[in-house]
Formats: sequence, C-alpha cells, structure tokens
Amino acid sequence: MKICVCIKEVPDPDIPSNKLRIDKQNFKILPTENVPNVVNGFDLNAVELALRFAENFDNSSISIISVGNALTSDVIKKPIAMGADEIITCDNEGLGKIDITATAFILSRIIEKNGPYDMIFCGRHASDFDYASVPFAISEFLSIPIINIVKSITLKDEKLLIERVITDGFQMIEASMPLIITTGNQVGDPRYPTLKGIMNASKKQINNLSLSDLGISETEILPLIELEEMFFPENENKVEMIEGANNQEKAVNLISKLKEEGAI
Amino acid sequence: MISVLAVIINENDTLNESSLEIFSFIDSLDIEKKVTAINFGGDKELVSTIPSNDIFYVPIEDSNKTNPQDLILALDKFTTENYFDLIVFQKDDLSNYLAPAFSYRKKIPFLPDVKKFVSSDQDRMKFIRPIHGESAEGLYSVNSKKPFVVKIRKSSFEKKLLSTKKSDIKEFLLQKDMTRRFKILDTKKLEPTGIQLDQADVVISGGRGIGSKEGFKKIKELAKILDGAVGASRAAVEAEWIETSQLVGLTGKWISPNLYFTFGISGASQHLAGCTNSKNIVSVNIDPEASIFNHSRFGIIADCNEFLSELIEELKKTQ
Repeated sequence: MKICVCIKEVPDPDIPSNKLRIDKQNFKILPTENVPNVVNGFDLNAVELALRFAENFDNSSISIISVGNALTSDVIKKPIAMGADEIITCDNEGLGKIDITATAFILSRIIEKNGPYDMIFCGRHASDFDYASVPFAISEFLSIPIINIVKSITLKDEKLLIERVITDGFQMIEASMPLIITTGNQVGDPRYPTLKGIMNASKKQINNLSLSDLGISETEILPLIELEEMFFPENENKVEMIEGANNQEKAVNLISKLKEEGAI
Repeated sequence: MISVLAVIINENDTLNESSLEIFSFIDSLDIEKKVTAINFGGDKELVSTIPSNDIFYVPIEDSNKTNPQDLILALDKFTTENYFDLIVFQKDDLSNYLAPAFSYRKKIPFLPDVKKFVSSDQDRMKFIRPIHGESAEGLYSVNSKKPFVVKIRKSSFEKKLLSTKKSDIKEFLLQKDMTRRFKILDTKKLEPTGIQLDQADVVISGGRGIGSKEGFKKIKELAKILDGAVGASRAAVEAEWIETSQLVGLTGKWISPNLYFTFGISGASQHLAGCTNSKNIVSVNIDPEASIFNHSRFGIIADCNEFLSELIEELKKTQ
C-alpha cells in the first residue's frame, strides 16, 4: 500500500493578528516575534488519518511531499517523527510566489515520479492562504477522484467506506482506490511524535527535487491569477474600554452601555 | 458587456437564500453584464423569481444523494454549450467542492473567497480576498479576456431581493457521469439542538481563558439569559470543554449576530475569520494587549470567569 500526504509549512495560525507583519516583497505573513512555523494543522490531521489507514496493511509506506521556498527542515519533518517513512520536497527559490495551479502541478509531478500511490491525503485547506483548492487541482491533473473533508475510512472487502463531514451532519460514501482524501480537525488530534520517531526524523534525509528533475520548465508555472499586493485591512474600529472599580461595577457599566446602544 | 453565470445549489423545495449574495456581487462589477443563473434543485416557483436575465433549472432527484461528479459533468456541458466570461459560486458544502473541481476540469483560473470587487480595466479585473484568517488581505488580478471562476465569501455581499414577477425557467437535465468513481450511500443531518449559531442574534463564546468545562456552564447560563447561542474558540474545542459543533472560526461556523460576547479569547486569525461580521463585539480578556480588542466595540480587562459570574448576577437583577 503506497500512501502519500501533501503538507505545507505555514506561520502559526494561533499567533494573534497584532503580532504579525507582512513581507511585501515575498508576499509572506511573518510573526513579529520569533515564533516558529508549523505544519498546517489540517495536514497533520491528514498524516494522522494516513497513519491509521496504513495500519490496515502488512506492507505499507507513507511518503510526505511538500513544495515551497526555504522550507524549515525541523518543521516539515514532523510527520516523519509521527511515523511516516520518507520526505520528498521541491524546495526552490522562486517557488515562494507561485499560484494554486502551479503548486498543484508540481505536487502532481512529484506524485507521478514517485508513485503510483494508492491513496493521497491532503489537509482541507491551509491556514495561511485558505484557497482549499490544491487537492482539487491535483485530482484533475492526475485524473484521480477526490472526496473532501473525510473523518474516517473503513476498509470493506475491496471497497472503501468513507465518512465525509458536511455542515450539521455526515455522508457515507463508497469509493475505491486510487483516491484523494482531504481532512479537517474531525479526524481527531494528530498523534504525538514518539522518542524513536524524533530520532528517526533527525537522521532522515530530505529528498529534494529540482524543477528540472521533475521535467518542469518555468513557463509552465506562471501564475494564472496574480497576487499583486498584500496588506492589513484598515482597522477603523475604536474599542471603548469599560472601566470600573471592580468586576461588579464593570458589569453594571457594560449592561447600561449595551442598553443605551439597544443591543440588549 | 460580459456574460456571467451564477451557480446555485438548492436544498429540496427551497431556494438557497444566501445564493442571493451572488447577485449583489455581480451588481458590484462596474461593467455591463448579462446574468444567467443555473439552479441545481430547489422550489421552481421561488427559482423563477431569482433576479437574473435567464434562469435554468436542473431537477435533482434526491438531494441527499447528489453526486458532485454528476454536477461537474453537467456544468462542464452547460458552459461548453453556453459561453460565460465569469462563473460565480457561493460558499456551501457542494459549491466548495464544485467550484475548484469545475475550474480545474475546464482549466480556467479560480479565485475563492472574494469579498470585494475593486476595479476593471482593458483586460484585468481586480478583487480582494482575505488571507491568514481575516488578519490580512490580498489584491488579486485576473485576465478578464478569458473565462474565470470566482467563489464569493459568505456574508460579504447583501442578499439581493427576489424579483416580484416570475420569469420563464428553462430546464437543463442532469446526466449521470458514467465514469464516476464513488457513490453517495447516505446523508445524515444531525438534528439541531438549541439556537443555531449561524442564525443566532446573540452569541456567547468562550476560549482558552475560560479554563474548564465548568467555565462553559457559566457561558451556557449567560446564553440562556440573553436568549443566545453558545460558541467557542478552537482552543476550547480542542480541550473538549465544548462540542466541536460550537466552534466559531475559519474551520467552524461563520456567525453574524447583532451581539457577540467573547470570554478569554485572544483573537487569533483562526477565530476572527468566523466572527468579524458580528455587529457589536464585546470582549473580556485579562490581557490588555489581546488582539480581540482591536475588533471589539466594547472591551473589559478582567478575569473572564470572575467577570462572567458578575455579569450573570447583574443581568438577573435587571430581569
């Protein structure tokens, strides 16, 4: 059973919005303080679901793949520490500003080169740009069907029984491999890396491929949609702080304010 | 003059009201346009009052078993037979699947979560969409001489009013995608309990600062007094103090209440994405630097549990 998981390195989404700055040249969001990047949360859910799925088979391997510019090796190796087997990247200067289509195109080429894979797992969207599109583009490039926001996969005879999350409910879907799956936090918490896993990850070499290794020319990854500018929205909001000698007084003052405004 | 297609997914026997936001978005484009709407399912009478020049209706047998693969095939066929410069989707479960899948099938550019149209010139159209939750924004441009697809951000545009007179609707039939590779066996909707978060007029959310399951009992008590719904940040949901269904944010519910209380929520972009459409945000946090205050109408610097108890007591007195 050959499985791969696509991951993305992102700024920590739990950083409060007033502790972020924008690198206008490279279109990147950066923390103002030294907070390390993380693997996109939903991608870790994807790793978790892939690891659980692999447990159904005696012989399986999980490849982690990632595309970007100046990836942080300690960050992107986390899935290895969780139990994945190998990591393949296309980490090249100039890949920091590519669009969805180009990202999916490069990922698809890596998948083709190292595949064929029976299952491809991806996070439902990345917390930085939130396009929720790359897995769909991979699906079209590789002609492999996609089911989004999956909670669990059960193997039944030769078929897969998939529980898909929808707003206020779920769907049961019958599918077969090869298949692309996207995941959200409904999968449950990603497992913690074990000590053995961490040791393993520290020794693991990242297999980095260049565009030419993948047979991709730069003209093939020109953006269809151009991000021209990135900025913080103007915040015209003026907060009114409710004062008081103690919490009781503050509560009384708040209630009268809200009544004045007709909010309660 | 451009030709625009609005793609609308309706539940059985209704009209998806938020799809009316698509027409306000189309109105905001500063060029002359002809609008066509394609409806998948829904109530035919209501569909015939959609504010569009042309209305198409695709009958759906059982919306619980609609296979997105069939819908993509239908859209592919429909847009091959009829040319459109711009195809607009809204944000719902099925559209979230269809919009990107359709765009890449047709090999045309796709821009999701557009919140504003900025300008158009000879051959470029510019739009704004949020980045990193709601903490930043990006200005995007696309070649408008070739077809492209936009999905609009929920609640960023007003719902356009239905027209008072009915138009003729034309049928377009769905064909089964014979190559489809998965089958929807069943759809189960969970019965909603209590007031629905995304429809509530008042929402009270707790975050990391609440600190325990016990703390959420107080949040629920306040919600009861104010006739509101209970929400939570990701930290609170992950700590299992409250059910995942109550998550407000990028990955949970998108709310737009008149009054939104946050207790012990710092204002990470994850959370802001789901609540910045609230009319009045009241935030309680012990940290005066908490970024949630930058988005709030009223702020209270206090231990959120202590303040919550006092607020409940004082509100009880006024009732």
